Amino acid sequence: MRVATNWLWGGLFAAGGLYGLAILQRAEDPGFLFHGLLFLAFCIAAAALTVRAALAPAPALMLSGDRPNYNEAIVRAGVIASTFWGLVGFAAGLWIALQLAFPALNFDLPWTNFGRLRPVHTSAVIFAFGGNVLIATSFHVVQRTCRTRLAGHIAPWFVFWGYQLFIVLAASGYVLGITQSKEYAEPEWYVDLWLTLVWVAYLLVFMATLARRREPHIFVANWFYLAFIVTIAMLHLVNNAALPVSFFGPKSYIAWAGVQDALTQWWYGHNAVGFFLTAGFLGIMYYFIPKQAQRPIYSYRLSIVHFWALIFLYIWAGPHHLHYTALPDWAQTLGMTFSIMLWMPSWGGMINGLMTLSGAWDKLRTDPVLRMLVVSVAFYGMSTFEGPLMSIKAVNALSHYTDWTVGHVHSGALGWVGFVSFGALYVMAPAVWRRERLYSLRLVEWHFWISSLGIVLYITAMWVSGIMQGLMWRAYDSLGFLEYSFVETVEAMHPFYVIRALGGALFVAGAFIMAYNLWRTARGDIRETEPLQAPGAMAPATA
Amino acid sequence: MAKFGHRTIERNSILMLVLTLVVVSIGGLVEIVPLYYLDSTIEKVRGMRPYSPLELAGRNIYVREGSLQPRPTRACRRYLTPAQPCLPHQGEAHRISGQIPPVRFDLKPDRRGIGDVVADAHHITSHPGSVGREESAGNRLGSPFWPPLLRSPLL
Repeated sequence: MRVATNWLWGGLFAAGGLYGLAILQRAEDPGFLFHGLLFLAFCIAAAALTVRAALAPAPALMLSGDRPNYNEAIVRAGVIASTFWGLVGFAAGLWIALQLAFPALNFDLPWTNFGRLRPVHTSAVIFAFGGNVLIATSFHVVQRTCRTRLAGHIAPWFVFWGYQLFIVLAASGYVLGITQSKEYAEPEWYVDLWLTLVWVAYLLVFMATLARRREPHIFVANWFYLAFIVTIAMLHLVNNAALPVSFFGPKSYIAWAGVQDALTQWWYGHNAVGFFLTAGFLGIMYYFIPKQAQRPIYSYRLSIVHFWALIFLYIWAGPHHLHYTALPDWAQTLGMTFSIMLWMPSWGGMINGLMTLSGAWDKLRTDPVLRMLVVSVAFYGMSTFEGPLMSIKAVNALSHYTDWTVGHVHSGALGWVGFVSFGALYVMAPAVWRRERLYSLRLVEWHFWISSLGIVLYITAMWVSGIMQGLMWRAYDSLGFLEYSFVETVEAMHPFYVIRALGGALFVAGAFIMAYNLWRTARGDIRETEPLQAPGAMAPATA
Repeated sequence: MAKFGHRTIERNSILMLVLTLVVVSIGGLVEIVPLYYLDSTIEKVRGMRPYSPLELAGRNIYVREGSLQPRPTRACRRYLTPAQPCLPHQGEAHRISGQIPPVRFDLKPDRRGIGDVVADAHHITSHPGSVGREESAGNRLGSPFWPPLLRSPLL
């Protein structure tokens, strides 16, 4: 079995290398030539590593004393990659926020234009940061909740490095002008195909680990991870169905057209939010909050109900991105209705996360990591209330195409996805580097408060700016003329763009503090001046 | 045989995978598939034709620069182009389509598109902010500039 899979991997990288060589000869575009070079280098390195792994002895499944030999190296790599891409993605966001306030920062160059850098930011935070967090935490959680070593010898590393290659191909492509210009699905056909391969390997590793579990039940966090992996596969394949112009050039045309393309795109786009940024991160919540609070999950029944309700309802909500367009009214109304119903399972998850703290609320005062995790769930509750509100057509008539949408997205992205990821990284790092605790809890406090302040500045600025923008667009004067020209609305938003950039800068600063703290933790340092309990700690509850 | 319950599902990873896939497929099937046979969404519009090579090259520039999501929805977002079908509200229709000139030309030039020299001019200049009233605001706050487009070949 192991020999056969080794040959399979070797064959895959050899075929990939041959294609890379062919690209070097026949590439029709300098960007594609660059990607061919990257791909060739990846295949050569991967083939060499495969040979090395094939010659090494297989790692033991169990250690002495009935302890599973967890694959922690892959999680360590994931923590490093998540932190790195987080810094890149947040900094890219800060840059484009400053570009909106001060357009001179576009530098009049094609590669640094807002239009090209915006998807670099969105993909870097969602797929590079969020995706690495999801892969790292899912590998961490599935091993520990199944009490078995992660399946596969080469496969997990292929998932990890293959995913990094996907990120680099995607982001460098946008800068060079290689994009489908479909929201969250910008990578071109060959990058999509590569991601498909990586994703199939990811699903197989996850399923094979579940299959060899030494627990009768599959833990609830893994339901969410599984739903995330399989649904993203479905969405990715359908939405990216495209016909390449040539096998040696980057350009392709999407198979769908017109309103069918529009709804397929937002069926995909909304559920990139629903399954990548929600279901996957709920998996994180269901493991790391009980773990850090040392309490059981509040309600088993609630987790069943809200899991099936959430994954069933989310898929229907896409049309609310297409209110007042050529999409038929019945589809718009259906999307709106399901978006409102979605409020319930979303809050089911929030309640299950928050109430897990019952009996341990005092820990919020003493444990900044737990506080970060819990505040993330509060942000989840807030943005999953705001989302259904904005999906109501009458509200959407005001909010659509304004900064309110941007603010809503970021309360979810910074508050929920960001904070729950930070919390998980803070829990995982000491565990997988086998340290007694984090380097410094005080730095976590600093990270928490600086980032929280940044988020508040960001979302309040966008609320004011967005609602003002919507009202100015629709204002008429007493003679029946439009009250404001477009450029006047842009002028009015300028101060809020500056405030938003300030909020973003604080969030970036917080992430740098985290990176420093995690680096010192990995090195095995402990800040000696800090007592093991955080300052001001009261006696812990014993009940 | 034990009674079927949720414990049956959560003890069987394949069953869980299959049921999840079934549950997440339904919404998309109900909403998207009808768009391929309902009369209102597959109507043959008179005068509809494929893009000319020049139009297609122009569309590819928009796609390359991330300026336009090539769908009926995102067009009104930030880089407005006329004649996109997203104008159901009076204010938006007035502002973008130019059906009725709603703004007094002398006071409030706007990017309404058709028939308004001030509003159209920014389409053909590398610095949108250098046109008319938008100069003062545009250079400070307005649209990003695309001077490289003046130098780059079309294809």
